[in-house]
Amino acid sequence: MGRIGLWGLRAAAVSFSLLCAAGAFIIFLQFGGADGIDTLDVVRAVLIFISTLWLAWGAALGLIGLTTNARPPAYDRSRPIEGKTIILMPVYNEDPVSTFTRLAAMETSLRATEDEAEIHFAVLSDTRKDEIAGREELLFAKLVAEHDGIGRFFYRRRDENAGKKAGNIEDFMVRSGGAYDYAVILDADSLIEGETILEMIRRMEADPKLGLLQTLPKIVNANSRFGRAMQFSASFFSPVFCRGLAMMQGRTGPFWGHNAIVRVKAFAESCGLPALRGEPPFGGHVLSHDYVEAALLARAGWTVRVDDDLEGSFEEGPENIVDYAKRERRWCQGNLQHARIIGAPRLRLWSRFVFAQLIMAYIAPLFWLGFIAASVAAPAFVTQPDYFPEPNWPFPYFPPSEAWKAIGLFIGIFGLLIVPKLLIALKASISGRARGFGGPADAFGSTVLELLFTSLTAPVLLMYATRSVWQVLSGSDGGWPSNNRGDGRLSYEESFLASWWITAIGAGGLAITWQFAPGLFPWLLPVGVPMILSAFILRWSSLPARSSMMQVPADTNPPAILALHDRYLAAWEGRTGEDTPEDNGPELAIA
Amino acid sequence: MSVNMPLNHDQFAARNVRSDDFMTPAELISGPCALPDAPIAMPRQQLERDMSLARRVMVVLRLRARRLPAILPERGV
Repeated sequence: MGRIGLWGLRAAAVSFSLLCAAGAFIIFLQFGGADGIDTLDVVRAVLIFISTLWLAWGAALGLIGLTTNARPPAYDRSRPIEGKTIILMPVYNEDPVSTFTRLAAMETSLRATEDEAEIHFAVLSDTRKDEIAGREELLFAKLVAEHDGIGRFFYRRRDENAGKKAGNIEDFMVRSGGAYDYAVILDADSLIEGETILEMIRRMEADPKLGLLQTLPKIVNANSRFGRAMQFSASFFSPVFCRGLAMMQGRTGPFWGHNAIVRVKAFAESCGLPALRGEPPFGGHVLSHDYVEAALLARAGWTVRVDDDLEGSFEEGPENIVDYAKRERRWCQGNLQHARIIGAPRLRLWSRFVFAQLIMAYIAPLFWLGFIAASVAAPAFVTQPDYFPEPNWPFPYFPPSEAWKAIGLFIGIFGLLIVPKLLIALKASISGRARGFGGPADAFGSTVLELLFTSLTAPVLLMYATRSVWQVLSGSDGGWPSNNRGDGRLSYEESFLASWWITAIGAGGLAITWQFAPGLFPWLLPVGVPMILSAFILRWSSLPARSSMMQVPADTNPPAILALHDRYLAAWEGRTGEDTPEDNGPELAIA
Repeated sequence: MSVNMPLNHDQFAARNVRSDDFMTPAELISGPCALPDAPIAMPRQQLERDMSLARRVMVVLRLRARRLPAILPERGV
């Protein structure tokens, strides 16, 4: 796409969003102003404008993504790979069996391609717990022994984890980056097919200006209801939204921190992150470093690109709402910190726009909450309508009801949420993509279920998001707790402890609405009831899914790399009678 | 080979490679499996301006204010 086409598309998406937001603003003012416009009407209309703008932007991404299909760029696939690549797996108190077996699976998958590209592996440990670090060393030795890995597998543990993950990668670059042309950056739960890794390297070699290539990782191995809903959404909807993103990325695409490949030279010369002035949460180390690194690469003239046609890239997701909220808390802090970076000198305009989007993603719930609170308070400020505006006129004048406009607005806003997803299901049914999701009927059924599920969980997530923003703005540093990647099942006690305050706010909010704005009460039930039932929702959504709905292609046709990882995991955990680290003892035979 | 083509991994299943040379994990990590020594410069990038936006606006306004007396009489003429 040419420069004019790209900016035309971007302008169309922004215009669509502004148009929707302006429409919502005007309709709301007409509705609220039926009995005379007061300050609260204007405040609510502004809040609706901002909220609708955000929803419409998401819808625009989906609608644009529906217009094309992902295609690989043109390049010579038969050309042998010349550059040297390192696969980096940063770990931080993760279960070493789970992470190292991923490296084992990827190495085996790469070997199966019989390509002669020179590819090494490095475990970059930031683990703070000595017990886990001891197991890392032991299992690393097992990995090396089983894969004949001397000279190809490396392990390093930092004494101090300065700069967190970004600091960990930087430490590698500064110390060893000169030995490699490309670095594939993983997360502790990443898995990439060997052939996909080779494709990523080939694409880097084909475009010398390409500084970073991001894949779209699919969520796998989800078991709980919440996890399955996320997995379905990531597998079914995300590729289309990502297509929209890819169409508008130009040379300033995204970096999501993992399942991506970077050109080491470009990364090293452009992405040295300084600590921001001041104390956390806004100062200190850059937390959500990935988007900053993408912006810095683009600033230095490198291309950053997401290739959504690349399959074979996987990650895992949280299995329950509490783990999801914990992760969101961390990301919230990192993304609000972008307010300090958005004005960085010489950034590309689109990079600044992306930072604004990231900030908006985390503060949008506040606008909805503000709108609800203002709506509950509004009746207290309403002046009684003048039923006899004409002196000496015997008949009363009743202001026209504008309720249908409120209903229209409600339908329009929900339309922005559901229409793109329904259209994705329709296109998948026509194109045949729905077959991987159980066929058109199941794909539509799963789409409706996902919409119901997100409607049920949205008020709870809204409250967690609001608390996260509050914590960040009030200056409390969330730190970086390691993710809980177990089966994720929550007990009633855990659920209640995590959500009692949401229940209290929900009950209190509905009681206040009943008392002061009874006309609003039925409208707020879809928000208030899930809040009151939040403990049950947390518990229920964390239980294993039994339904066959929300099926994804990996269920019926497991990718080779997942099957391979499962085999290694079973062997290393001693479930198939293979040697375990304990069986081998502390000293391992090295070829 | 297609990205999505199923791979035959059976021939590459996990195997133990053993020899007479023994190294402890610690020896391995500090020896042949230590990261290669190939330093590369990673200069710190500028993320924040030296002056905040508000301060820059203030500086510009002050500069204009200093120039103002020289300009005003001319406008009066």
